[in-house]
Amino acid sequence: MLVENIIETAEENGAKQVMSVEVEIGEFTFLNLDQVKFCYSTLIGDTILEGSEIILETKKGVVKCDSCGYTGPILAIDDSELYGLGLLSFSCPECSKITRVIEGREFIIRRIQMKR
Amino acid sequence: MREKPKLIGPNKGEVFEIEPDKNLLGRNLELSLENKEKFDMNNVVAIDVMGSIGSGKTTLLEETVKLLREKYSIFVLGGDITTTIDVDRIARHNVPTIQINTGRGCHLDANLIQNAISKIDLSKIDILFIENVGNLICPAGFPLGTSKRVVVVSVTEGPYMVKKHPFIFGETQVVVINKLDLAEVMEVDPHSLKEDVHKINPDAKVVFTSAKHGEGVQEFIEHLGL
Repeated sequence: MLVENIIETAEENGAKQVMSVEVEIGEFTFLNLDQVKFCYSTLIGDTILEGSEIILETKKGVVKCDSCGYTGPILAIDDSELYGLGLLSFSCPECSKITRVIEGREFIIRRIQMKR
Repeated sequence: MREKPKLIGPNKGEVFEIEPDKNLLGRNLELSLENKEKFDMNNVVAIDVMGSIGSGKTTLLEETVKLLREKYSIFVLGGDITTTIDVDRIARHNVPTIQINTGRGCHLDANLIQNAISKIDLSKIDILFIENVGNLICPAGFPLGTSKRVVVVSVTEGPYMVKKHPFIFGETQVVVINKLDLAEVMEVDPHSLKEDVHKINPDAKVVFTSAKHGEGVQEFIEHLGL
């Protein structure tokens, strides 16, 4: 999907070769950056993307509480079983009510550098 | 005739950049909203049933349709990698079904649902159950347009299943803790699983079931608001 989209967009813009691509990946997509890079490098052979570089930027997730108005990072509850990662919770850190995700689900092609 | 304006662009060989800002996951969200609109227009209650492989999604649905089929017109869409085993089990209870084989795909997406519902007369259906592919990871990121999402987790999956998959429990309205009859032999405390669900999602309704024996299924139906 990512590679097809880049090729399509680049060709629409008359590109003969793509040099680099910047992609923004939200924390809550749980995409593994190394896997994305690996898949990218596997898929671009024999296309106008061959030899191009993929630059991945992660974006922190943001949740919003409709009860108290809290907007910010998700709550991570201390949990010894999770090796210090903390249990991700959708409860509001301020008032414990349920929050909703407003940022962090992005998988966005931000910039394509190419040659005509 | 006026001459076409000449497009001024980069010269041959010149390096240039564009910023498409194209959200690749945005398309699923758009399609899910279209599905939701179709469900709402036809007064269909659509329910996405997710859960691990072997957690008991099909058994729970079998028992659920048995209790609901007299009262409502039910349709079941089943997502699976290759076979029709699951929908065949449900079809035995005289409920119409469609199988969506995802091939290598590990989840259903809004596009697959849109294709499937285009083959159904939604105006004749009250409740549409969608049994997702057995997986606690990917389905979380692909809303289908249902008004309710259910996750089935069973005690046989061990004590950490909820903690390990916070994201799928975050936007779920009903969580079913299944195979309660095996909790003792598995030495898994179902109440601790329930606590984990509430730590992640304080609004989720949690119900204990032994779907195989029909236990807790009525309560599950009540939690669905049916």
